[in-house]
Amino acid sequence: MTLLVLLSKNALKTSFENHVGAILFLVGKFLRFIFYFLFVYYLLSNTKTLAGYTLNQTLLFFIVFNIVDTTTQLIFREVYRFRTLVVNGELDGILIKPYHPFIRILVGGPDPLDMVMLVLYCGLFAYFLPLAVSVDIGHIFLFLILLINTFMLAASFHIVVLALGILTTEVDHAMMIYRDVTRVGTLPIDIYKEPLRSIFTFILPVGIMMTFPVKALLGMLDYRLIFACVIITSGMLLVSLRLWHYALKKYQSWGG
Amino acid sequence: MNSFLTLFRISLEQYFIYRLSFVLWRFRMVLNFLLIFFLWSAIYENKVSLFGYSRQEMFTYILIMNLLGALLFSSRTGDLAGEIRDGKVINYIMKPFSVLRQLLTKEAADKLINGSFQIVETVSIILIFKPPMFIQSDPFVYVAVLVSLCINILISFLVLYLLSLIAFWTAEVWAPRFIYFIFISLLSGSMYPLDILPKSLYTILLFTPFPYFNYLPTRIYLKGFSVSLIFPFFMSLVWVVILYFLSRKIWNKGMKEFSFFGR
Repeated sequence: MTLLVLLSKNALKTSFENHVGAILFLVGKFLRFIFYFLFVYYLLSNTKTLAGYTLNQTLLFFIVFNIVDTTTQLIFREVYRFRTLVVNGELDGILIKPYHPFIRILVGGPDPLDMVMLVLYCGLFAYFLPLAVSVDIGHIFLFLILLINTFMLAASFHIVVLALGILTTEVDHAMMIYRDVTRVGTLPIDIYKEPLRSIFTFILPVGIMMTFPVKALLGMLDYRLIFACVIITSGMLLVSLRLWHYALKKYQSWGG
Repeated sequence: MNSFLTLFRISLEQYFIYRLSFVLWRFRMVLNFLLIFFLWSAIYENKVSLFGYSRQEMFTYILIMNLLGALLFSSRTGDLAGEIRDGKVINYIMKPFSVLRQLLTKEAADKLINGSFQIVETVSIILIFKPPMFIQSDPFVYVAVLVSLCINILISFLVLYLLSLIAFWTAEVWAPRFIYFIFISLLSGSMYPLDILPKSLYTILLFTPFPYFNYLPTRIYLKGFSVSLIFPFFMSLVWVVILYFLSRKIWNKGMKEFSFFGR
């Protein structure tokens, strides 16, 4: 834990080395959110519903998507820098350290800029939650469980990217594809027609990650689907860890 | 002319060196479009007309937007910023052609290859999902669309070129580009027709370069060329002139500041 705090402090200092860039990126993220939020708000104010969801419910989907997206970026930011460690051989130095390499390469560089945006999203979530649904403690509990499930799924995706990084040195595109695939869950997955909806729910489990937690919150999720979520996530986690161990066996230092 | 054709060919060949990167980039573009396509499908569910657009017109609008997205979002101008920072920009200066023309040639190759793929992807989407489509029958409209499209390409190229020139003064070149792409993804009409916005906001937008990227040619295609479009058309030309002179001025200013050792 002390090590994680130390690595986080380090990441915080690195982020603010270039103040102007950090502030501009923060402004960019803020503008992107506000523009998109207003767009959805304006559309739904006119149409009243989207795939059967009201304006406030749709906004709740959008806000939760942003909370998940930002939190995963906050936690797993170091994965974006993994390629450099592989190609210049620095990964050797991490692998011989007496702690699990994931502490450094998976969760070792949280991005403080994302923290600022997260506060905004959580504030909006607290505001829109009672407007979208009558708050039920059981539904909130399920929501939190499924949110943890989402982060486990995100972790397994990132571990797969790390393994691919070792096997192919390709990290950037894999990360961008992960981001774009999850982006299809910006709005409820119900807007997609079959078979695309099932593909986005169970094969590329964006629906499980982004839509299911909110559906649980709204009391619209069948309990059988909750079990399906847990099974799919456990399977994904197992596969990703197997792939990581396989990649480690194939790893050859690139220089060091 | 031959030199430019050679540069054009080399730029095309570069894409086939990084095939995987290119294929992944195209895959990402398709995914991004699916979100917009299905968002509008859900919105038009059981509706014939909304915001002054029929279902047929709206689907045609977003499909044309997707097609034109290749002209708007793909660009090689980003390379220039890096080349200014590491001094490789000297390679442009030492050649006996204007830098702007060299970059425009590379840009044309980029648009050609991305545009070709975008046509294949858009046709595939039409064949798979069979959305209702509107076919314009007035030949004059096609001419107006073509002219507007050329203006769109010039504006988008010049704005991105200007953003790359920031590299003469600062290493922070990616954040302004990031903000720029956020602006065009929401204010250029690539997700929705700009005239569905409140009238006052739409009028303000007409004074900015954003509507002239993709919105104007698509609007002309759908609703024809009318008197109400003369002002936007004029404004788009004004923006080309402003951006052209601004880019020349800033390039010259940047060259006076530029110094590099070791090449």
